[in-house]
Amino acid sequence: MYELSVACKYLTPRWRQLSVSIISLVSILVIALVVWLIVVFFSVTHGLEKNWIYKLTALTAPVRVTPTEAYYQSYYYQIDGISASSDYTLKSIHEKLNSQLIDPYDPSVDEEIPSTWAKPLIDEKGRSKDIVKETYRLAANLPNVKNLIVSDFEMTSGNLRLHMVRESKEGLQSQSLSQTTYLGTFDPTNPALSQVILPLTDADKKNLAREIAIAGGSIKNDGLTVSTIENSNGKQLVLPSDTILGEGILAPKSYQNAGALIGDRGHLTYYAATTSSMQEQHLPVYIAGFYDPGIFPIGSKFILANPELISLVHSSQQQSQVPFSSGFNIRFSDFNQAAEVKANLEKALQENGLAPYWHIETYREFDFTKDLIQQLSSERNLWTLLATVIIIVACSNIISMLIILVNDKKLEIGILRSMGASSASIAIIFGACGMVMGAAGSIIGTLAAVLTLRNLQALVNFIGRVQGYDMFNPVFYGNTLPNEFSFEALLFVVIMTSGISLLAGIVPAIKASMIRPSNILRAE
Amino acid sequence: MMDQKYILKAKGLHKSFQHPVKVQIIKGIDLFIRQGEAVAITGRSGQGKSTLLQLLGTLEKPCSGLLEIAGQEVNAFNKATIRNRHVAFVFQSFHLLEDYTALDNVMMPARIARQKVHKGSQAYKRGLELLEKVGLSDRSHFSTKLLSGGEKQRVAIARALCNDPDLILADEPSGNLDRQTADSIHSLLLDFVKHENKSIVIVTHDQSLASMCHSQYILESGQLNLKPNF
Repeated sequence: MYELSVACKYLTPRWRQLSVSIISLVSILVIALVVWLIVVFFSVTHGLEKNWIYKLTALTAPVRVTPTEAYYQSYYYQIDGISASSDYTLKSIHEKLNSQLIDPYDPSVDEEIPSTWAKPLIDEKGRSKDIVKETYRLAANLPNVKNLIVSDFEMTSGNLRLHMVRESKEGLQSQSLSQTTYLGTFDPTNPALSQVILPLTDADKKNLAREIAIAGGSIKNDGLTVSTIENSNGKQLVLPSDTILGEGILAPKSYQNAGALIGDRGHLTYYAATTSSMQEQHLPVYIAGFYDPGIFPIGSKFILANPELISLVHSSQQQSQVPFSSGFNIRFSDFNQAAEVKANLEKALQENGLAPYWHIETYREFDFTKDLIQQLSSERNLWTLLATVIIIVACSNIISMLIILVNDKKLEIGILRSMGASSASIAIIFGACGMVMGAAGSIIGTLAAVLTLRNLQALVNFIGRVQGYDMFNPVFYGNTLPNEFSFEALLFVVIMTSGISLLAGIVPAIKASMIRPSNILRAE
Repeated sequence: MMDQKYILKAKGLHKSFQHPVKVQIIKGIDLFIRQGEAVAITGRSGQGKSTLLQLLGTLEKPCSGLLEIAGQEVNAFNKATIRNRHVAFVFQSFHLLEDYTALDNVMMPARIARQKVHKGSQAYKRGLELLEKVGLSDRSHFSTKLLSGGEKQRVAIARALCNDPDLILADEPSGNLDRQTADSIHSLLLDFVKHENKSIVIVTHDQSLASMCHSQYILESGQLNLKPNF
């Protein structure tokens, strides 16, 4: 294709056509700058968004299934409250999942079933349907979902009171930290959780050793912090407990920022109803680890503990009055499948007559993430719009440069036409000039972006040192900025610059193709 | 020669320009050129010789009239192909592409015809042969900026012959050259016509060149008249 070789020849800088050379160089540099800016910006924001969503779902899941009011009104849920074999106690999802009995009711022992209750859900063989176990089975067997893990969760609240013993010049001093907290189930099968656990510091180790010394007894200074073990089910997290120190809890980073250390002991307090009054209950706990909740809205108050502890606290509350306090977490590796997983599970529940009992949400629909994710999405759209405008401005230079080039190359256009070049070929030559400039700018910008992203942290640290404070607040952005190259951003700028460069080349190309060779050759 | 087929047939060609004032420059010209025929067109400056040449070479569109080249009636769709395959121009100002070497200039019509021009290709070999024919084999890789006027015109002639055209249209081919160089250019062009059995139309003021052609026409008042006693 000779048109491209002629276009490249025209774009080669020459002293003779200095103005065109300078304008083309500036145009290419401006495009490169814009491409660099967009690729770096979108790579970082894309990475941040990915991290935020990852951390959000580390505490929850890409898809959550929670009981509806119909579940709490069902015979299946309420029957435990009047059954002797269930100790006349309503069961949580976790307990229902581990229960041996589907229907604990014994008409010979238990009181009469109120007439206002819903009828029990019966399967085709006339047996009571186990709503929880059946739902778990359907969710765990969803087709075409990679790394699917289904686990139950519970969420409740309590008050955490920590006693922090610290060394000072006057000797050991005790401080206390008290805060109302949310309590969530520590799920050892959650692969995302291991990614957000913060490393043990020297101060933590020292504090743990001191607490062990203070507690006395025969506590081994080993396996007291949250750790990963490998067993037949693969890698699993372990949140330890100790008979003297208490139940290990995983506290959010905000506790660490408030001065807490691993090993700090305290009590988890909550109120439970007795036959005569509400009594305060104390459970001994200690901090076995810290995690980074990211921008999870209630993350600074969200403590993770083993299911047994959560169940104990949770059972003191009337479950139906605390929405979304229990259910199933459905985890899988590709978050883009969330909507598909939700639809498939809804369909499966519908087919099995279980749909009225469950509310299914993807991470984009959670009450505490919906606004944030919509905001992220809106910002992304706004920046995409801005990026498009910036690319248009950068590429508009090409139009002026090509018009000058067409005027400069009038004689050559005439000569080429006299040799048989068609007007379409002439248009292609100048259109190709625009495309080549766009492509050259994109390549330079992309290479610069790769280089910048590789050294992003050093650059951020340098700017931070120059201005005297961190360039990005670690609370929101984490300790390091993501530097993964965004191919999505690259695709966007390449398509945009190529398209706009081509459009920018069209006007000069048409102008060039309209030139009458006879006029040019006669004038010369 | 009389039995040979016509390479160019022009019937009733008219051309007028509207700006700045309406001027009818060509008034119904008929011209028939046979294969192997050399035709000279002379006339005073401003009579429309170059315009006529551009009409014949499809660079200019006639207001009316018919033009047939190498058996094909010229229209908007085939004129670029006709220019590339059947017609070649030699201009007074050479009109070489300055950013290219002599060889690249010679091969440009082949490039436009989408032929391969890499080293060793047929077009490349032909380009070298043509430069050798015009006596410039040692200048093939020279930038055209470094060549003299005579050398530039030789390159232009080699370029004109690249796609083996049926008709060469030469507009004052030696107008910018000294006598000796001009004579060598005239010989080159007319030898080509003679040996390759091609046709040529030369617009010139040079009577000695015109006298070397088979026929000479005078363009006057928009009409083409065969010069008597020629």
